[in-house]
Amino acid sequence: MDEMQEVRELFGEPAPPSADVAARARRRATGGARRRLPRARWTMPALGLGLAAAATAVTLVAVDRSGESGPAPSGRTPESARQVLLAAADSSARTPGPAGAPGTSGKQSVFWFTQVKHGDRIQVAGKTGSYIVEDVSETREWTNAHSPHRTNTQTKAGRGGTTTQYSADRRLGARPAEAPDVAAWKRDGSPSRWHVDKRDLDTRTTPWQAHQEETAFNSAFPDGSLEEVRRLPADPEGLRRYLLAHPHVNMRNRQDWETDSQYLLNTVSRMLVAEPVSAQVRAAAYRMLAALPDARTHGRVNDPLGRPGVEVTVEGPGPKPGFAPGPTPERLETGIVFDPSTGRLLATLDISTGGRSWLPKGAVLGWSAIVQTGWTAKAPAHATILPG
Amino acid sequence: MAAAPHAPPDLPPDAPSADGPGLGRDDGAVIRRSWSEPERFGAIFDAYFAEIHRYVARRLDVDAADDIASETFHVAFRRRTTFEVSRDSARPWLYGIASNLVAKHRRAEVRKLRALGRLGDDGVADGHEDRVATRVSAEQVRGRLARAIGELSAQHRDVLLLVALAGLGYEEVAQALDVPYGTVCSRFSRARGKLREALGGENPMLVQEGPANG
Repeated sequence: MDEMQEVRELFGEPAPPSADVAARARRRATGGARRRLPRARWTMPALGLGLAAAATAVTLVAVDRSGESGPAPSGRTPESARQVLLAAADSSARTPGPAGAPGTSGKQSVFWFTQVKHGDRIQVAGKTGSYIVEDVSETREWTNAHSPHRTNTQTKAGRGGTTTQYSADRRLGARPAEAPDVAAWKRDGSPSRWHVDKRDLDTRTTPWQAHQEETAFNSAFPDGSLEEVRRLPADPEGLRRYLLAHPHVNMRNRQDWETDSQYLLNTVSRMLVAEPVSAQVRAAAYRMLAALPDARTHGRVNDPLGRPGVEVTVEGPGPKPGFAPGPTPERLETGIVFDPSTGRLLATLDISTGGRSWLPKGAVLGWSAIVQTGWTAKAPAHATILPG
Repeated sequence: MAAAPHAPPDLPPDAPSADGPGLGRDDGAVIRRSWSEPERFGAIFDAYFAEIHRYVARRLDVDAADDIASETFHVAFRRRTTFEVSRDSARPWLYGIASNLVAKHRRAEVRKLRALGRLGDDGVADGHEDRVATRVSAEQVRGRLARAIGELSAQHRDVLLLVALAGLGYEEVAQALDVPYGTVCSRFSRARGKLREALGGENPMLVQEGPANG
């Protein structure tokens, strides 16, 4: 006899949830309650994002990519990328790491603080032709480096713990990206709002909104403590092995589509922001990138905030379709901008390789620029505590 | 669903599949990524929200399911760093959270089962036609079944309904409720025994299967 079938019939078939109920539930289940700013479409998920003040947003990276129109990037040899990266490594070794970071002197406070601006470039269809707007935002994060909590179960399973994290973000509004876009925007009637790819963009800025979260997992400290940062290998080959084979590799946001080179470049760009690494580890990171066979340099550029630096990029597959709303390019060039004289990382860039992308080859799709990082003793006041 | 090594013998034919688009075998990896990319948790939501909602709606009602299913995924999202990411499937974990939330509505559930238990109590027909008698008996069976389920302890009911309605295997129920596998087996077998007892040998709908199968 089949009582189980009887039981199933007893309970009948209920109506499915309405689309509205499901949509609201989904927002709650993806951090929507936190009202985070949209992150870069595909990269740098750990960096929070942010944007430049309106003025700098319009005058973006002045990169001369004229030499790249040919089929092969002539004159861009791996050696030149290698040279600038090795220069940054040498400077890094001479420049002290963050005060209080392992291997450095100085006072280590409670919170590791990062402030990052982010720009996301989107093509809009104007009445008289399409143009590019840049949606900019800014994020601050405070991660308590001294109070990670880890339950016995988590420890036994080798998993990370939780820690107190504060975050604050604000929108800085969308603007036409560069001079030709400003002209097209004026022909479009100078709109102050756009709707594209199910996204609503407007020119407004919003005040900072601060949140406090107890359960927040922060990739700054992959195991929930500074231990992980202390254990980072300080030699290039060791660091490479560690990052590629580390059991917590997913915590470092490795994406399915990333080649080793893409992953290592992206990881370094996150690590040098989100983690208080020592000068030795920073030097090792640049040396590790210098050994990548497919790193290219575009030479001297200004970063999205107008600071002079050197740009190094790696090209590889783009994100899987569906990973983010809207079209995703099949290939993507990922870049970092740094100051070789100090080893300081300034910005990260996503650059179009043409093809399915909505922007032509060489155009910047999105960027994050590091405003500041360092230790601070103070958390933001008036943070809204998020339910945990 | 993923073939549980100790799947109970009679999985519902309409058991939702855990092998949704791109999911089911690597939920752990998805959840681990969602630790730092919260929007990734949307894939878990998309794969399981409908079935969790359905499960709760069957045990309680659609209004309660709207709240509880939403709360289940919110709680899961908040606790995503505690998920054992080496596990293939998030289904047991999600059903476990939902079961805990349903437990807070125990009175409503018992009320519902009592209402169902009144099936077949009234309108006992003249009984001069076999067809009518069969229909009434079917309702009486349902009523008895509902009363028996309502009289189960909450723990036995959870196990029974996770197997019967959610289609979980014993091992998955053990994960969901965080109890040993053997406990699940014994609770299930006792719950099933009570249902059989309640139905007795008088269930005309089941007679054709005979005791050999029972």
